[in-house]
Amino acid sequence: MKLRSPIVFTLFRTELRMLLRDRRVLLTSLVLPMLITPLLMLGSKATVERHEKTLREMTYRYAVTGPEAASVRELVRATRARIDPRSKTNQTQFRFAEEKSDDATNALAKGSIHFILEGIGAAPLPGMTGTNATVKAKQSGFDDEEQEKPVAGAWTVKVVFRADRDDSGSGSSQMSDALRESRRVQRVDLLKSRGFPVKPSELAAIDNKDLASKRQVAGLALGRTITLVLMLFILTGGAVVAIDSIAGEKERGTLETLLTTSASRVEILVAKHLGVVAIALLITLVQSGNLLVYVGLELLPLPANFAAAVTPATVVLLFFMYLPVAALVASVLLLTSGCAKSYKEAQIYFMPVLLVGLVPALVPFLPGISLRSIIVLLPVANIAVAVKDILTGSFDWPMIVLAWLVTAGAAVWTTRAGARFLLSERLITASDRDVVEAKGGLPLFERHVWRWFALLWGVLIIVSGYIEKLDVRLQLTVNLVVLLFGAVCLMLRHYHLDPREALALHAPKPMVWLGVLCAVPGGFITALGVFQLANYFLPTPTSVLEGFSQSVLPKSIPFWQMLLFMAVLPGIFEELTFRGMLLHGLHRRLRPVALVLVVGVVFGIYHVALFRFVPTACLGAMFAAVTLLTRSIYPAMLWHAASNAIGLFADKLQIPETGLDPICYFAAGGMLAAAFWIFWRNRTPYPGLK
Amino acid sequence: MTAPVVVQNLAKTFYDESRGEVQAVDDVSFECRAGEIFGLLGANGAGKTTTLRILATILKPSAGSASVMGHDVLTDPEAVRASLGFSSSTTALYPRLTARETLDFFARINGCPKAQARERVARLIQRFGIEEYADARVDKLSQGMKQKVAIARTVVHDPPVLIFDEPTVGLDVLNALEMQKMIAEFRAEGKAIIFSTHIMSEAEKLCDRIAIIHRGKIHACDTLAGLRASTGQHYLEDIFVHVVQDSAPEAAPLAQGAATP
Amino acid sequence: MSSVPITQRHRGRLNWRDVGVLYGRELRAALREKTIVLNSLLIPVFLYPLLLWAGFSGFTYVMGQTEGFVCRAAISGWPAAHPKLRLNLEHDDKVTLVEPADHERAKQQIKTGQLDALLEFLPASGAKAALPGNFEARITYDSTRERSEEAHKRLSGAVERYRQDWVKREGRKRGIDAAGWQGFVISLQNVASQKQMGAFILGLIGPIMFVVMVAVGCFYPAVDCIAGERERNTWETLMSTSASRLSVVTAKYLYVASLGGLAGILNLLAIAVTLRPVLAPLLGRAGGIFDYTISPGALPVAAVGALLLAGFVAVGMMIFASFARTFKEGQAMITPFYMLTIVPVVFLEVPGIKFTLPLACVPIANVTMMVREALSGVFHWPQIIVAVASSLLVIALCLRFATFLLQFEDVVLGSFNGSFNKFIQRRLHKNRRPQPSL
Repeated sequence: MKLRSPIVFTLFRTELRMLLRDRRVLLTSLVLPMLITPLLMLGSKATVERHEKTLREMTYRYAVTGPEAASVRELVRATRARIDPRSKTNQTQFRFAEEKSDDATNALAKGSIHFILEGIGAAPLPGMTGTNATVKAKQSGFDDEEQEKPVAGAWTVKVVFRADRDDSGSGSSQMSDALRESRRVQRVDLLKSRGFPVKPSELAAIDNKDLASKRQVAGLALGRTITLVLMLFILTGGAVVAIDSIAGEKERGTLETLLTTSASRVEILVAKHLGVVAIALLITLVQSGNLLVYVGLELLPLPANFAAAVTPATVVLLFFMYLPVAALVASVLLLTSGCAKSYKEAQIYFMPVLLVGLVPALVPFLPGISLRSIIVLLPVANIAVAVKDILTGSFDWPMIVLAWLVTAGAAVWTTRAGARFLLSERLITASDRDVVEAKGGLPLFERHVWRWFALLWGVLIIVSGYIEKLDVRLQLTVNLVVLLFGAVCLMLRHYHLDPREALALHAPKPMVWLGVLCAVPGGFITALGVFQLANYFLPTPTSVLEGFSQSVLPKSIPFWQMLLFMAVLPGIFEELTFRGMLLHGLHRRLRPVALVLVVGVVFGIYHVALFRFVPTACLGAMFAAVTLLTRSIYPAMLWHAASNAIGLFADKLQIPETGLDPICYFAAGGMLAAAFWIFWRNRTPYPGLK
Repeated sequence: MTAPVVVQNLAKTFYDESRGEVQAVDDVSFECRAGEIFGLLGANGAGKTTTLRILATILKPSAGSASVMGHDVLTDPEAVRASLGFSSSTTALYPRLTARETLDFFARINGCPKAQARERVARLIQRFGIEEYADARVDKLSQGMKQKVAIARTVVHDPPVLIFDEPTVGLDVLNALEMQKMIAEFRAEGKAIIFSTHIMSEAEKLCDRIAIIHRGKIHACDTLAGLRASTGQHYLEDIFVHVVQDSAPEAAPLAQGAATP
Repeated sequence: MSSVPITQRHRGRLNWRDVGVLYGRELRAALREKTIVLNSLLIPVFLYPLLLWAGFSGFTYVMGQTEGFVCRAAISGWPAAHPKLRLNLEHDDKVTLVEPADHERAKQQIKTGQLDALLEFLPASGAKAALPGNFEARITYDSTRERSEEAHKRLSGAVERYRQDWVKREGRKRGIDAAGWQGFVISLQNVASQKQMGAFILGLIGPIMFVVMVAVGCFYPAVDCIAGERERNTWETLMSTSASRLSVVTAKYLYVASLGGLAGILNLLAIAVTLRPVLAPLLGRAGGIFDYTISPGALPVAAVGALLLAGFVAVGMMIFASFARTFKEGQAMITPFYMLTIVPVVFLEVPGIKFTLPLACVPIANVTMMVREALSGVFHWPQIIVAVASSLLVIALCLRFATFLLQFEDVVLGSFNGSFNKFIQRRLHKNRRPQPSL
């Protein structure tokens, strides 16, 4: 692939020159946002401040009810005296006023009062009265104060409010805080009156010594947000250029002119790519400058010691760290532009690209994320975490370099994918169809297979959300039969595919069944082992595991039905979908090993939960492998059903699936190896493999 | 010695939603020699533009082969484009570049070193008489001026082969004549020129040999004298009608509004 | 042949037949772009679940990380009078006690991440020493390391719990019983129904998303119907037909408004359909189970609001796009207006803003308030009527202005390439120039 730097430089320079001459675009992309954004921020800040001030300064009206109303009033009086000792009426600090009301509930509903203080008397212990109750009270343990459960003898102030009204929520919250403070003061006074020599707060006083410097603290705050902000700038700034760069040129007819020159497609793409990166970085610099202006105008709060956190050396290092991010974003935007047939179409794709592009930038906000984890392999997310670490003064160089290389590699791969689009005749011709689209059949299905499975996944997730409260049998029927099998039928019909070939409905050689017999227990235990291993990198919360177990394995269903719905049906319909249609749609595009892995990964993704991904992907890959080797879906179906059945039996007989002896995993590995040896010896190759 | 442009059994099929399979180019073969203007004459939708786009490596042939200066369009497209200057009504100019910058850009991108490019650009500006507006932006130029700049950028890297696809479309009489004069000059310089048009008088005036293309097939290919002799007609218009009508029973009816992509 | 007299056509009046023909053509052309139509419908079906799945996976991953996390703490100077505190910490399975090194070394280990926190028990000093057995607890940690921050929280939590227990014991020793110590309990009870809470949350986020989605939905049709036509060289063809400028503008306006409004509503529906089954349980787990059912009475008001909003945004965008010659320019020129549509919404983002009559006259803000209150089941009819009337008036004025613009040659031809200011100045200057006498 030729890449001549003088050609690339000529193209790049010309692209930049043309762009910088587009005054209108520059004006509206750079200058006008500089004017409008502060207006937005000022407006937002002013509105919020005004609202908060209103809530702070308004006088909240409340009613007092309940058997302990007198105690409540006394408590409120004491609270007011504490807050504002000089005044007996509403003064600056104590902004509450009682309203007499016969029907406080109705008054609250109408909005004439903000909340109700209901005094509820102390409830005696069951079977205890009078002094016995008091004695019992003395002997009963103290409840955990944080949970605010009343002990026998204590009375309750219930603050009744309406959370759907801002003023009611605010007033009730302020009153609760004031009452809590009064209670604290009461306790201090009580202890003091009983001769307690120190204040309660002086008991086991905690002194916190934070070793982080102010610079590091500022760096942490900045490190969390900087990638998100920069990604937003780079995406929006780069999109202006990228979309016009291919889709726009196509509409103007200048793309054809360019394509007839001796510059190679890669050279053209690299030059456009550099142009997009340059403009994106320029816009980022300008917008970052704007942000500093906003900080100066106090429109944006910044952590203290922000300046100290960002030294010149840090700026240089950050620039270097963000270069592959800018390159990757530019590649993705150009790829989007190349996929589109027109400017308008490219614009439709931009919003999803923007939303998906911002997701990895949110990773630093998650607690407990370290660069020394699977995160280092996720482009953009790894840079975001690395930058956060750098700004807090933590330099894990091997991981930082690895993160940089992963993101840069992703950028290179995407650029190469983009170059393929410049070879497409669709860029030039008015015809929106080529021979594949016209003839249909398997070649067209191969082109569309990813779209089908992406859409099916989305539909499954949406529908699952609506039916999750239903009986699990009904859920499985809907998911497996209606959605998965329905999609299979649709695909077969739409592309006029032969079901026998597409779904590999061929009988395998007899010995294959022996292989399946070995594979079932081997695969099951191997999957368990893989799960344990995966748990090390992707630990699963116990609550999630328990919740999953309860929802998927309800005890109320007869066992034979559990076998039917959770073993047999998935064994049939999931196999038809993944080892049938998906495998068929990809088998001519990917080499066998890659095909097996990809089908496995997609199968794992379809199981949604993170903790299920690795073991199901592993099993899915094995099912795909046996289908390819035997040219038959039936072994995979049996294997799948039997594997699920083993899990159900294990649950029913309460056989633990964790903590197995290592020898079990070795044995399982051996059985799997034996199984695949049998499959290999009795193979019937899948036709048309790459 | 092999001709600079050799096309053998070239075919191209498009698929359209409403019309189905469209054989835009069907078994086309011809050669274009150095110092010759080879004319491709045909009505709209005959397959001229598709053929030329295949030569320019923008489209891939469905069958057959084509080569420019010995380089195959499929296996060595960049070398083909380096030997080629392609100008079509669909190849637009960058509106925000000046004429000079446009020429300089296309010189450099086609491999001319900086100094050489500058010198060539200056020569071409003089030759084409575009000194007056050399530093004006392309979007400010009239149609005629734009066309001159377009021609200039086609030859700026001095390619041995030139392809002009309906270059005089939209030009007034004077500009069209000037265009023809320039193309004749290129021929005199020894370039192999493929010239496609549907204007008969142009083809008569300029072309050394003419191929009449209709419904994707070449139905006749000869000098003007040869065509006159074989058809018994004098004017190219009559020759064209005669050739096309002769081939009518073999061809499928023209689709309404047929226009190749 | 048109049944409308030629004279009427030439006067530039609105001809609804022409409008119908033009509108039909615009819509047909738009709907024939199958890829765009299909992708507009299908992309949200995949996109929103993908985003939610990513969010959930992230949270699950984080939960897993923190659940399994055991902090490494070095503790020195155990207070002899409080063996229970030591027992509590030693038996805490979330804390691993490490042999403490000297203070400086421990600080170094915390900075490098080898140790998460150092807890030192020191004898109480000064007035605090008045209570026998009192101590101070110094926790050294690094707040920029999450492990260390978590360790700090766990250790301070353990000490705090012990402190509270100790206070109660001291109270008991001095004759303060549990009831006396607790005094009273404060409990908060939210009596808003699930439906009211659902309406409240919908009212907070719904209108803002609604405005953004409708504005986005209008954006591309507005750019395409003027600047896009110019780029495709069909603009002059259209301008040279016998349809009046007003008819052309009205047809394009109806196209942009209907397509934009529809796109906005579809997008909102897509969000509602995809997010509701996932977001509702998520909010439920956060402590609130809400009913997001929209009352039937709100739907007509929301529909009217959608139309008015789309109507205003469409005409505003078209005015800005009138000066654009290419799609890219059109996009660049509309973007500021698009940002300005967000401004009124920003001002209304806090709850508790009242829908007053003056506010009912402010474009976009009035529709936002109208829809927000409708979602909460509140209908202030005078304000709604004023909002509808003022929006219609603004739309009519803007349409008239757009038509007025199209009278100028340079706008019609799209050859005007100066600023909007220059355009206005030139018009004024032209009007001020004295007319030559006959």
